[in-house]
Amino acid sequence: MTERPTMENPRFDDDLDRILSGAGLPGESGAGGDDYAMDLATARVLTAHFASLRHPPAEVGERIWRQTQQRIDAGRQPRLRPVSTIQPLIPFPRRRLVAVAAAILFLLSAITPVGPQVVATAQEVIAAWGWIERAPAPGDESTAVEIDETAPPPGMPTVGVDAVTIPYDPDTRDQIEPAGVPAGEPTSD
Amino acid sequence: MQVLSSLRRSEAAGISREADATTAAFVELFRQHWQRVHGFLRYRLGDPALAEELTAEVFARAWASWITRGQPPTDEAAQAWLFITARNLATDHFRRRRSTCPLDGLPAFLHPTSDSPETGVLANDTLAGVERCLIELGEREREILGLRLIAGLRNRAIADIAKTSEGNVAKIVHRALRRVRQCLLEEGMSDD
Repeated sequence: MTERPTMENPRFDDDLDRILSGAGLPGESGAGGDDYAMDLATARVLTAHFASLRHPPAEVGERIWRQTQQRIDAGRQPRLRPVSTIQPLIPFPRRRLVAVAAAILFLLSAITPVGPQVVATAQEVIAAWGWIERAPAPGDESTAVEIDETAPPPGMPTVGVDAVTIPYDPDTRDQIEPAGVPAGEPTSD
Repeated sequence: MQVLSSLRRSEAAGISREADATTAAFVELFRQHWQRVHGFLRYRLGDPALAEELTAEVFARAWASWITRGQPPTDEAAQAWLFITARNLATDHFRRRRSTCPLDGLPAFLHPTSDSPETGVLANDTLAGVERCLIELGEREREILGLRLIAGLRNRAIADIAKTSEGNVAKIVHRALRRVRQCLLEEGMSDD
């Protein structure tokens, strides 16, 4: 007893292949019941309408091949990487680590007694460096700073731009107290 | 044969002057499948120019995949890869265009050649009826019917592409043909 062909069994798949290839079906009329035959007939109608899709002109294939070549060639060219993917000089995790370490050191220097000392030492070093920079080198006349003999020596108190100059002895550079004014009291005009 | 000779000329002139095995296999892949991939995409998209463009994109991606990942182990795997890529490209196109009717352009490219105005009118009537019946199918039925009757894939190959069972593909084809037949009868057309 032969199996009755149905849509789900492989025979229908084979029969569809025969329709697609244009071959006739063996025992086509009433091969497996009316539904089976009518479905094959429907498939034949659709296949006939799809014929132009299944067999396009050769020129279409040539155009597609040319486009394929162009796309492949375009894909071979090097492309610039997006800016976001360029690796920075210092990788981001390392930069973050450096920033965190700097913040911790700053906080420690602020809350520990060592911190102000370090800051003060740094200020002294900077100040000394500035004094060294300003001082003339021995025998260097071009950079020597002329000392104003009439100017008050360092450490003498002055007030503002128009400060009153306290007279002093140029030889001994000692302060000369004006007559009638006790030493240490400010003078004013 | 004309296409094949053209492809061989193109191969010799352009894409790869080295007749290595990969290039030869790729040319053979193109020769075997371009008509089916193009037919399926044209059926799905309804736009001849777009179908050609996306068919070229499918094969260009296939080449890139071969270069980076190697050639598929079997012809069936290569064929499945091509149609999965074609389906995805068509789906992306519809998403971009937000289109829900991929058969818009069907009449233009399904227009049959006719020797006389009378047969042309009759053919157009038949064609319009078939189109209406196809549009009434569900998206999945229409796609699987296209893979079966245009791409010519067997049920097992369609099952691999559509990620379903072979039996389910057979049922979908069965259901789609029944619905088309019923629709054609309602349209007053016989499918004999």
